Amino acid sequence: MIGTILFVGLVVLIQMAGQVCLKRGLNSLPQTAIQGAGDIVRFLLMVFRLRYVQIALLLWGTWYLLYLTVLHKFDISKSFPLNSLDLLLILLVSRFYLREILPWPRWVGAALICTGVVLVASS
Amino acid sequence: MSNSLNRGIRGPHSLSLHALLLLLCVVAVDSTSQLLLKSAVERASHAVVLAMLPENDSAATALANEMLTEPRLWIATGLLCVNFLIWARALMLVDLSIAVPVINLSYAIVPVGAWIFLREEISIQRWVGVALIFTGVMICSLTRNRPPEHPPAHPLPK
Repeated sequence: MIGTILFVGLVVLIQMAGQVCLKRGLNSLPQTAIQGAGDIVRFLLMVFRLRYVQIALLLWGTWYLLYLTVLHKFDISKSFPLNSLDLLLILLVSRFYLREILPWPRWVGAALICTGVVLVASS
Repeated sequence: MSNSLNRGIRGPHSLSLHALLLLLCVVAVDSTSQLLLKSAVERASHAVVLAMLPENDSAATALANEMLTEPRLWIATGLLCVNFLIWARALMLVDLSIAVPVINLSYAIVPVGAWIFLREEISIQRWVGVALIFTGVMICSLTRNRPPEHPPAHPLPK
């Protein structure tokens, strides 16, 4: 049981780290509008050259393999609550690492979502 | 891009409709690939895990066979790759602390989808959960987003 929680927790942490790395990388790009196919290619070239995005992709590759294991080994509905924990972690990291400004309604909304996910998963 | 898409859904500093649509796209594609994975994974993931063990040639062969014979796994993986691109574009426009809550909508979409398409029964508790998720996502997406002209918190090191 403890092993399961630790393993699923690790998977959640890796996913979260991937999200944060991706966002950190994208934050260093200038805001550009995408209008045509050429813009999309240019955007992708810019994105994949970022060190943080490369780290994020590596983390997601790892996450995907581990996630397949989780899906296979455990009843996925039992691991849903840990996914909602991920949301609170993301908010904390957004606030203190990415320096985003979080108005209080966003915390309330996230708390509602967490509660909702737990209710959906445990029924 | 038309102006109405770029305008905030609630005032100049809120999420733009364009960004919201991108996020909803991610939710839809993600839910689809989750369902595909879930149905495909029973057989395939076992082979993936075995193949990760060193010096396990027969398992690697088994994995190759599983991958080739399991189109759902391929489709799901392909969808996840496409999703990455949409997600990356969305994240450029939206705070991570808005985007991730909105993505959690998939936890509400999947049961509702199962109710509509698979005629699955949903318990009262699950309905309450779904309602809470919808409300939470709505609140989060209405909060003030980082304005696009805001300088990046971490300038590029090189």
